[in-house]
Amino acid sequence: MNQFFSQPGMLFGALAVGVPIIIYLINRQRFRRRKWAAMEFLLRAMRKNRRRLQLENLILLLLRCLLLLLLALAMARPFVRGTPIGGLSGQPENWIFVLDSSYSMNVRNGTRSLFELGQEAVSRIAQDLVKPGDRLAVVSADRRSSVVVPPTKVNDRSLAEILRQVDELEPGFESLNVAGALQEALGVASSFESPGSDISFSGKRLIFLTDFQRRDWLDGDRPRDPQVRDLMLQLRDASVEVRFAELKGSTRNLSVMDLNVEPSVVSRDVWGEVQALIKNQSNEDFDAVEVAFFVDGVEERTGMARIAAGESVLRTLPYRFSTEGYHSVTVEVRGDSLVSDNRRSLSLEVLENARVLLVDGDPGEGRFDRETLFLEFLLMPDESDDFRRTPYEPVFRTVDQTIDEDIRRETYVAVVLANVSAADLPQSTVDSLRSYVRQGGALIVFAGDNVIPVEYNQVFRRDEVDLLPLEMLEVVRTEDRPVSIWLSNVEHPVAAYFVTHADNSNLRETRDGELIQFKKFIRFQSALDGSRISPIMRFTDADDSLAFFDAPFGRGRTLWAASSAGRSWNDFGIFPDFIFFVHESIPYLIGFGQSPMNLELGEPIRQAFDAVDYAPDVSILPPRPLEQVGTNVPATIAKALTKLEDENRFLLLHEETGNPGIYRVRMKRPSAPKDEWTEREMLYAVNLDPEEGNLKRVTSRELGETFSDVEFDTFDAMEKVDQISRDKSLAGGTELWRQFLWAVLILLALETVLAHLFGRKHR
Amino acid sequence: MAEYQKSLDPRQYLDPKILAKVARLEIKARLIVEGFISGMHRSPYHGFSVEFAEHREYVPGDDIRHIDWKVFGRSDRFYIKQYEEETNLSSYILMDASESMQYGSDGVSKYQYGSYIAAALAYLLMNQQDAVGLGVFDEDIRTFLPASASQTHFLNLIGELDRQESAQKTDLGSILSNFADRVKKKGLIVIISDMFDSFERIRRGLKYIRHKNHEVMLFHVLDEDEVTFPFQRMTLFEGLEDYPELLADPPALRQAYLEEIESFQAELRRTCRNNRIDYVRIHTGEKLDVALTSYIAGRAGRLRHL
Repeated sequence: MNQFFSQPGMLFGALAVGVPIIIYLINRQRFRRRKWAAMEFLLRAMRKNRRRLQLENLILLLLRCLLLLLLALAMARPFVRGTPIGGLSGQPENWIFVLDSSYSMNVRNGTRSLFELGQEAVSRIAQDLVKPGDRLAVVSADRRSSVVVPPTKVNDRSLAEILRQVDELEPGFESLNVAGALQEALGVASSFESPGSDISFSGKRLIFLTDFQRRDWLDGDRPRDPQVRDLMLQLRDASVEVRFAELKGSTRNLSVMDLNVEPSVVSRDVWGEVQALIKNQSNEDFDAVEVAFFVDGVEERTGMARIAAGESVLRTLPYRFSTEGYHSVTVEVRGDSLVSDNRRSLSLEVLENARVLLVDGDPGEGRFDRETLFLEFLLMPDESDDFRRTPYEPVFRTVDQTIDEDIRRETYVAVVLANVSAADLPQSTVDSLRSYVRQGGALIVFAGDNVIPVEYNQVFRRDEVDLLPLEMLEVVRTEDRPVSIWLSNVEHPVAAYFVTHADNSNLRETRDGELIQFKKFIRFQSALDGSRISPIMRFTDADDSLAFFDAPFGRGRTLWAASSAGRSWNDFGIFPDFIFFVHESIPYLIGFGQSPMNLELGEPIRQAFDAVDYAPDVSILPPRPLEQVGTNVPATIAKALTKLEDENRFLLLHEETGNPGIYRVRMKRPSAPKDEWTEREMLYAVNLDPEEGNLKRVTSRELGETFSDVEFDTFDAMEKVDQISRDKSLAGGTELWRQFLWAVLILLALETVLAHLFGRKHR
Repeated sequence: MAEYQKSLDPRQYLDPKILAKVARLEIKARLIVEGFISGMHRSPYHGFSVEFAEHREYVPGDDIRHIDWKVFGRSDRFYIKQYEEETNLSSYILMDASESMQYGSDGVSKYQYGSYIAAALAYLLMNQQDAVGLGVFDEDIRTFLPASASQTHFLNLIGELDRQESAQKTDLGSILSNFADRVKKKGLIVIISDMFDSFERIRRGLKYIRHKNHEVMLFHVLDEDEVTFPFQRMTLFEGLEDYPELLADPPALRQAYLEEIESFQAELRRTCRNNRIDYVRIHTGEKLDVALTSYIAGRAGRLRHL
């Protein structure tokens, strides 16, 4: 291919211009002889018309030659380089290609992903428009953009190397940070201004190849990141011509939006339910979606679902784990080509028992007199059958029993103080409780006759950020006119159950519920704005006093109940709502103290171990990305635990969580007897943001309206690539063979008409 | 002659191409005339052997069969046709036998075609007891037969026509003058020629012949190719009568050539009209009765002037 013709070999056809001349000369040699009587008239006619005939002959000859020349040119497929993307000025130019590498670029268009098409578009446009002497840089853009090809002066060799680098890029699993990408591009653009450059670079061109996924740009109708507008204006001020190359693919997509286990505290042999929320993110119905559940990599159940456009379905798998330790649950839907968001994994630690320490401040004479009676019942595993009904194991203690030694996270998932007198608690126990919660423990405190506000304020509220977040004011008696409770914060995770099961609950979102009666409660000071506490329920008294609230302390959390756990101050315990309240509250509180095992893409694995758990041999096996078919099994990564400053603990930190799936952490340490190693495996689930699977696009017009004063100059990248492929010319070129063919036809018609006019055509 | 008597339709011999197959010219002459007369019998010209003289106003007592209904149709008045006896006529046929007359595109040369006309006219005239003479010329008068009405003379005349073949130029101006001088008795001179000569000389000759009080009838014979110029391919035209060669693309030159020859014919026609000469342009593709009809149409008028 040369600069003007895509089939230059056909230019040899231009030699055909000699054909009419040769025919003319041959015709003059090959004539008939004829005796002619009326010669005088013929000679006279010839004499009078010689010049005209010569002129006509010349015109026809030239026309025929031109006709053949144009035909040969048309067959050589000429093209002119247009300027739809700019370029081709005489001066050297700077080019920045920003290639969207976000997860949504994995969407297929035919057999190829948008990312692959984007790579081809970069290659085609670069080959066509970038001249030797120009400078070119490539930025790969997703959540964190990076310059993959720094500004490089283009020649044949460097261009090939640049294109090879572009070809090796792969899309990530994260969303596109548009502002980040523009910022990176702006940085590259300013680096073009190299002082002392001996060449005057006439222009800076930025071509941003993206799928225009709506969520990357807009949050509802507003800009997701207002910085985008500022950056676009800065680019404009820096004389950078920005053009967007749109890559369009199917918007048909399913996503697993959420995966969890209910209850979230999982113990061995306790039935639970794996719940998967699957959403059809497109405008088309999916009639047969295969939904498969895997536990520890083994397929447990596969079912079919029909999901209407834009709708979600919940699919569940009842399951109980027979062994303690780390397990993984994965759900996978099949039905579209964007596979990574069709799969979501969950890592969970199955406990032998979830022990809950119940410290009873008013144990009474017999078991049924205990303040913690209801709590014991509702947490009791009830092993009458071959399986347990709850994951918990309540451990009953009284205040005078030595408990502070036991209060460790490894022993109890939660500690409940029920009607415990603060004055009766040894200081060591209080310190143990503080330490326990600080390290992530869950503490629930119920009021009662033994709870004296002054004492509690003294013992648990040494300062503003102690275990007791609000000051206890006084005991309120409402025997004459009992009050009830209502959900004052429906957004609270504990309240969520009662909202969704409102029909079977006596708890209401408003103050109109009167069934559950509270005769006494402790009034806490009102929560100030910006307070750490999260109210859950309030009483229906005139002051809307706090009934239940929680607050953080260290890495753990405390939940305070203003009334009793037993029936001494209320009859909450006899209502089923109490069971659900406790079963919702304990997992909620426990969750704060756990090291996160379920991470978002890019979020590091970070876990601290006590010195006793130190392991010298730590390795991580990352998952294999689903999109990258044929990729080898990833290599195991060796890690080392690092000691935390001022703590007798060690930290595992792994930041390369760019691929979704299960990361297996294996820790080996020697144990007695010597030369034997014990191995412990922990699982971490990393999932991509399911919203990245929402492929809805934004138009340049919408962007223009949203980001005022900014023009989003857009062209269809695939159309451009198709045109380039079809024309076999490079990007920006416009083929002219049709025009040439038209010219040939016009000349042909002209030749025919003139030949008739000149009397050259046979009648 | 017997084989031709069985012919179905004598009029077929008006086609020069068919007639060319007939060997002897005197038979051709007879066939032409028979064919011509056969055609005339179907025409409205009844009793042509009795020559029509003039019209006069109808008066009661006149035979109404002689009323000229055509005149009545035109003028709304009754006229009677008056007839008169034939007058003996002395006619000369002046036949061009120059090289250009030998040109023929379709099997019949202009000379052959002209000789058919000449023979047929001679036959027709002699059958009416008219005396017919003959002059055959190229650059000079090669043959001169004085006018006679005898049968033997007819055969001599036919023999002369049949014999002539020439590769000579023509000089019509002087030929016409010479011929007019040689014909002493005032009569009808029928010229059969392609008239390929200097127009000025032709004009002078015709004028002179008219000056001698001869009635003149000119059969301008051209070949069909000469009036249509139908050639398509590059052609080297080889001129007759000492004209040079010319290599030309005929389609390119056709229009100009046709304009030239039309102009020549128009000029010739105008000259004839000015000199009261009957001009009949005829080409070799036409049937022979055209010439005879033209002759008959002009005969009565000519007789009056003689």
